[in-house]
Amino acid sequence: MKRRDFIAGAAAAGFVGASQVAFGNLPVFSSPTPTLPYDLVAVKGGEPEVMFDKAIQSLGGMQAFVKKGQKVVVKPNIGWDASPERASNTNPNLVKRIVKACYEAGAKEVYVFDNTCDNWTSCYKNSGIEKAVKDAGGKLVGGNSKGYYQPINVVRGKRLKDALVHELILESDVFINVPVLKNHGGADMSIAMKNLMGIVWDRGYWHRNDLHQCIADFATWRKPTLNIVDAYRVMMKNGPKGVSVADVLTMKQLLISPDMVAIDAAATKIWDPGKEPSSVKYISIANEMKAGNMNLAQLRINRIKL
Amino acid sequence: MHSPVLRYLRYFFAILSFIALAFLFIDYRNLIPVGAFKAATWFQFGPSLVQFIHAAGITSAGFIFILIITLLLGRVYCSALCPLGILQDVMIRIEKWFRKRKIFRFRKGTWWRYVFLGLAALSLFTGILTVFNLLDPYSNFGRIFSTLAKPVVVLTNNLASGILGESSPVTINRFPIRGFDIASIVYPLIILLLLLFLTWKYGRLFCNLVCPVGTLLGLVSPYSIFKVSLDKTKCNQCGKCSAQCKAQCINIKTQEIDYSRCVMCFNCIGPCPDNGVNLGRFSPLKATALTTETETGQSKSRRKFIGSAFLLGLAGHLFAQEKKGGVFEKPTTLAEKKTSAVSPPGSGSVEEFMNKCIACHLCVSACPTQVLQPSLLKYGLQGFLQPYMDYHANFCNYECVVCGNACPTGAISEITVEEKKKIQLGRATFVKENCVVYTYNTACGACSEHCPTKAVNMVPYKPGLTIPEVDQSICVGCGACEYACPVKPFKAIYVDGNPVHLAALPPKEEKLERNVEDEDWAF
Repeated sequence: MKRRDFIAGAAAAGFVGASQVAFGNLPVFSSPTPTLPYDLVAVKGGEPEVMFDKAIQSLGGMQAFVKKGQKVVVKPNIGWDASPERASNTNPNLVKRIVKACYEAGAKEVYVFDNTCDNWTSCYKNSGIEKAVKDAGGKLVGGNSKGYYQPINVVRGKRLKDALVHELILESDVFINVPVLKNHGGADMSIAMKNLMGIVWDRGYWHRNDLHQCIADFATWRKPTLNIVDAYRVMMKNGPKGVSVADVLTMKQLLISPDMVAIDAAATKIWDPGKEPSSVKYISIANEMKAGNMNLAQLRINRIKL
Repeated sequence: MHSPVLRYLRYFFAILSFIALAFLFIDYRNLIPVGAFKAATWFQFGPSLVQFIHAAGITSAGFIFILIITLLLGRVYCSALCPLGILQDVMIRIEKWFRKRKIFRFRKGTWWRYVFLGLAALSLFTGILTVFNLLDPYSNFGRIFSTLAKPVVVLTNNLASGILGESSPVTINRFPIRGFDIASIVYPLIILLLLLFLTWKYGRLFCNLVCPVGTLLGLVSPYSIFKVSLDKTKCNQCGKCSAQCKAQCINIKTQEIDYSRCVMCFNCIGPCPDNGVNLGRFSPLKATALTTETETGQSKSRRKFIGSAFLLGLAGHLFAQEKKGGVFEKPTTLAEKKTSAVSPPGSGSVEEFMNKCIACHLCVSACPTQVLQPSLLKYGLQGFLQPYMDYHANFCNYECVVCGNACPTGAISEITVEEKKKIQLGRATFVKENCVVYTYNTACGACSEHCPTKAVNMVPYKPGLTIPEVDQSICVGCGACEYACPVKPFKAIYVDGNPVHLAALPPKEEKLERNVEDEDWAF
């Protein structure tokens, strides 16, 4: 965070000017087709890959998000050394199907990585995601060395003004965020916005400087092209790592939306129908900061039951 | 027998042994299959002997095998199996490129070697391994490769990754170097420089002066059945054999070989124009008379300077890499009160560990998380260089038992993952006053998030806020909480080691009461 002073000065000099300085030479994720039929698609009652196929079809297929020859980065949660049944990590079958769908839509390269919490090689292997990605023809890249990370500015951030972000995120045309729905002892819920802590280097800074505010701040940096929430197996307690399969309920649900705030709100309701999304602090802050819309009543939602 | 075959045989075994052991210590990708460790280190005299003292058996009988081989063939171990010996041979070979003409001269053996042997023996018998660990050749090799060579290899890998990453799709993964303490390179570096100096000036003198294993085998080798000898009927004392003798043990005047120092490299056989140097069968023979000689001479080599400059540069790089970017507004003030260092899982207790660990750092190299780091004074002077669990470097993976698979002495015993989960290495202690939640009234939970058993659990604190609570009975002491805790310089949660490892209760499991089958859309 040594560039903070410079950035604060730049921000004071003018919001627009600062953003031009900060983003002048950086590529921006390609946005989905502007005329998406829905803001959010929810599917329940099927296997992860089947639910994904149905959901993406209703949004016009993967080609609405991935164009021919583009470089795609898929960011599942691979944070923990745990088997798929523990639901600490994103479902490997879902990741596999997404990587395949990207290639089918014409992607040139599809990369997958996470800045894991447990030892990264064990996480990649034991989550089943290493095999899933390789089977689908994707490329798995490490995330646990500082050398991968490049500085960016969070222009609209209140507490988080800058961060080191994995170069794959900065170099890719399309960014697909694929979290798994879990409870979280510190951050309340771990879904799409929280999953982005796995693309930055220094998470400790977030934890020291108002975690909820930092999560919301970072959500204002850039919207992923697409967010896909895996709620097939859902961790109900002891999250985000969990202790055993006793922490997990099989819910067989899946959400897709380009809006992280909306998808986090919907996922919170899946986790506990009685829980108000606004009770998750970073969701309401991100909503206030206009990183997205947490008001589900205002959204065009497609509900698919299989 | 008189042909280069003997020398080629030595090359074959030496290259095999050297590559296998070097790979063990620099395998940053953890490619080595479990079980290969013990096969590769079985022949190593030092670790085998230490293990035998505590647990005699076939797995620790490697040194007996070496003794038998020595009775048969002399000190072939020193040239064909000992990685530090082979390293010196490599040095001598490379050094030859830098000098015009190199010949070795006969030197008498020195009794100082028996002082080193005596000190090592004393160290073994008292169980205070410090001195033994500083002298043992295998351990010294391990430390040189683990502490000096491995970081260089990893940095080279990362450099290559960076270069390739610029122009082409990422093909090589980067690997982090964690918890590297610059002071830990001092001793391995001293030994490395000493070896460079000794090999330059005196060939394999380290093996005939400092090395207790060499000296011990030297007590046996004069009685070996096969020996290299000079045929006095053919020898015209031209000295060509002696000029090639790295052990400086061929006395051309008396046409005798000091078998206590001969490392059976067979370099003397080829040069003899009269085929007068041969490997032959002998009846038990007396050792060549030993006379005292004082070591003299000390020179500063340019190499020494270049070597240290390079390593200092490397160290600077490492230090810079580990520097954290964030600035914590208010540094924490309450120091962690650790009463005991944490010894690795499977070591039983700190005392047992210290009595068995030869500080070869194979576990340090093998540890996938790099939580195992060489200690300097964490165990006191007695445990100098023995590895400890450094929870500021990383934490111990709940599902991993690699260190026990690697350890060549049984200081870390081989345990199953299920056994490991029941061992309590230490206990987590929460320091509320240092905690983010208490100080700033903002959410955190990094400690609990990483805890594999939920011994550290987040409990309601204030509206919308949770704070850590520790249940020490189910804590395994893995250090995940301590590592993850974001405050600096003192952590708000730390693990104090159990001097004797205790049992941890299993994590609590409660069944979830919710039927999702009948649930309708939640939104």
